[in-house]
Amino acid sequence: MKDDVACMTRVELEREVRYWREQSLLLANDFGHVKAQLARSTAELEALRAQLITYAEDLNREYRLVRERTVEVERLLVATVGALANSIEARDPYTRGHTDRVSRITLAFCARLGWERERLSIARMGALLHDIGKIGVPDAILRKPGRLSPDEYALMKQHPRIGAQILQGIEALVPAIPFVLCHHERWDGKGYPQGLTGPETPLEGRILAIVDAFDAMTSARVYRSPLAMDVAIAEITRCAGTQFDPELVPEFVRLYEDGLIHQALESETSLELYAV
Amino acid sequence: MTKKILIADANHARRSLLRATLNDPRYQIIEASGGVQALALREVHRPDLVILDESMPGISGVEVCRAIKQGAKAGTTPVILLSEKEPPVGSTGDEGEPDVYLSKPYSPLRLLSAVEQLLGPVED
Repeated sequence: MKDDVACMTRVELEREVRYWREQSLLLANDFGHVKAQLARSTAELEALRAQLITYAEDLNREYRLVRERTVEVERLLVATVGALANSIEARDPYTRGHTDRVSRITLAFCARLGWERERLSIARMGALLHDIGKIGVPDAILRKPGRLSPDEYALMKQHPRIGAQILQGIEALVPAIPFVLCHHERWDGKGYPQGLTGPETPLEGRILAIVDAFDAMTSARVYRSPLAMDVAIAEITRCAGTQFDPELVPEFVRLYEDGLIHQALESETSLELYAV
Repeated sequence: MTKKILIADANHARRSLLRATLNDPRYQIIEASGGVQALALREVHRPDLVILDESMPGISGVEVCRAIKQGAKAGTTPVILLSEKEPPVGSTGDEGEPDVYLSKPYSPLRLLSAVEQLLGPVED
């Protein structure tokens, strides 16, 4: 093909024109194909987009339903577990309100330690049920006003094990077992039922040991009036490293000093962990 | 025992979406990218359920469905048709019709419940 049109013969020019005409027809044809392809792709994308929005709508609806149900289940579980715990208290007049207070303080303590929602829920179950094993302790021992005989005390010391056995049969409550089984263990290994030492006792047990002792001291007993909270805190501090985990005690003291124990005990409703 | 589900759709992205939606250890998913392949894979795998996209080039979902429903050789395999239009009124249950119509965009929840309903109880 010559670049200089002026030098072309007529035949050459006609060939040139034919060539370009064909070429532009091919181009137009290609362009039409591309345009149609684009339209198809656009339609396909639009359909996929509509499909994805339907997925998002379904997901949203299911998510809200699951959330509502979770709140309901949580409420039901807390109510059921609470009723179970209260049935123990009804037999033991000296500990009225004990489980409710222990569960409130435990929840505040664990929240302070940075526990997540699900773990907090387990902590509440564990705290509410920590004395459930007392169901296997005879009334004569449970309600005895005086000192227990060594045999009676040995029976009393079975309650964490009995409690753990009871929870073993309920799948949702199995994670709460360390609270129940280990809340009478001591840092120095002189606790029961297993006599675990230091960090051998699961964190759950070490936490509940502090809270349980704090509430026991600040509640009235037949043989003494309740201790002031300050006095109980001082006693817990004194027993850090012997009875209690020396690293957890300062955390508990701070919880008290920040007024969060008072707040937990005074709030009217129990915390709804799953309510949003 | 796992149940086999054959999904047929020409679009790869839509097949992935279907596969992800049906993801369940109880289900084994077989993919076909067209009507001919769908019919061939059905012969090989004998799926417990077939999910068809209506708008496949060549042999369409409707035609695959008709072939499945009228060829009594493999027994009655339940079929879900993902359809472009609203399902024709009162036509389900006729010969050659799918068991369930879902118009696109389909609700994944309705798809899942249709699958469970058609497969019946599946043991874990």
